[in-house]
Amino acid sequence: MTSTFSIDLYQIASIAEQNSAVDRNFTQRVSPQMLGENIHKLAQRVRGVAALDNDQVLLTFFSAEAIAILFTMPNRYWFWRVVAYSALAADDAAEVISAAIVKDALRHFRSGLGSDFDFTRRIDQLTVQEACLSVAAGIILLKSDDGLMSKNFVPVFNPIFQPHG
Amino acid sequence: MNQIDDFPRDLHQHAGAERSRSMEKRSYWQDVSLLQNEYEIWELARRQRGVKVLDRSLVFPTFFTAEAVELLMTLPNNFWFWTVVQHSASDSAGGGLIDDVIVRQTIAGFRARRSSVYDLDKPMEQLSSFEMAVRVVEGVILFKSNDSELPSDGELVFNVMFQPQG
Repeated sequence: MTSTFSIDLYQIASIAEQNSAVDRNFTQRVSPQMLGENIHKLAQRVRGVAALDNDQVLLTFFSAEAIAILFTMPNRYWFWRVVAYSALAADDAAEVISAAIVKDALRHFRSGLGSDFDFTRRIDQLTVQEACLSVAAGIILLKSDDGLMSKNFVPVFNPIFQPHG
Repeated sequence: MNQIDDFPRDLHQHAGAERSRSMEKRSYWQDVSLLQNEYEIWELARRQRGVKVLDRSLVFPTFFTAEAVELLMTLPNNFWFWTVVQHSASDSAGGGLIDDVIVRQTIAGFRARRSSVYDLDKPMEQLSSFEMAVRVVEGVILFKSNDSELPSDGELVFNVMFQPQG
């Protein structure tokens, strides 16, 4: 039952979200290796085991389909933000958090900014002010192959806010 | 005042937590004078002075000289305020108030690090959209607006710490 872990998962994800806020505007790879000790320990406790492989940690809390969506997140900040929201919205009676809950979380973030931003406009159509606002809000992210100190960032849409169609 | 030699350690820890909390707003201008009204820093100052009642205006003078407080109050948002406080507390030797020399050195350090990545003296009108965006993300250029939630009607201004010089 998700009720056995949802509050703890929410708290771990909220702290991780805050700790990764510096990554919010940049793309980075998310993987099972970056999950950290806290969620690993929670997964062990929920499963009642003393050891657990990294790739089993998220399966303790999410369906495989939900995890596939989570690993499309563009950086740690958005990953943990979606995990935190999904943990709060979890169906208490379900075994794990479903893909439908994770998709609801994405819709929530998209609609939250939808009244202030036009997601259908191409990046090259934005004015300087609009581009800066979109980057500051995390709608457009900066991508680089040579780290945060790069001089060669490329703007890309955050997949959460990617224009549809 | 009940000054304790290691007060910079508590201040450093508090500023670090506040810095993390305010990181999401690092691209937006905010009025830092309101920070003296926040409970946690007031409580830290009250404990530091060993008093039960403390006027809000005495919160930051508990840790910094008047000149240093004046300088801190020119910082453009909560993120940069707490970042500078955290580093200044870390660089302080302890045993007395943190002075404006330390605060200036901290600010100069941030400026030096950024200027090693890009030209801080390049005027805003010569920057491309995404040179601007990178600076906005890093809090080098800020949105200044009356609407702190979404400053779409705001203007882009240089963070005073990174203002072009000369």
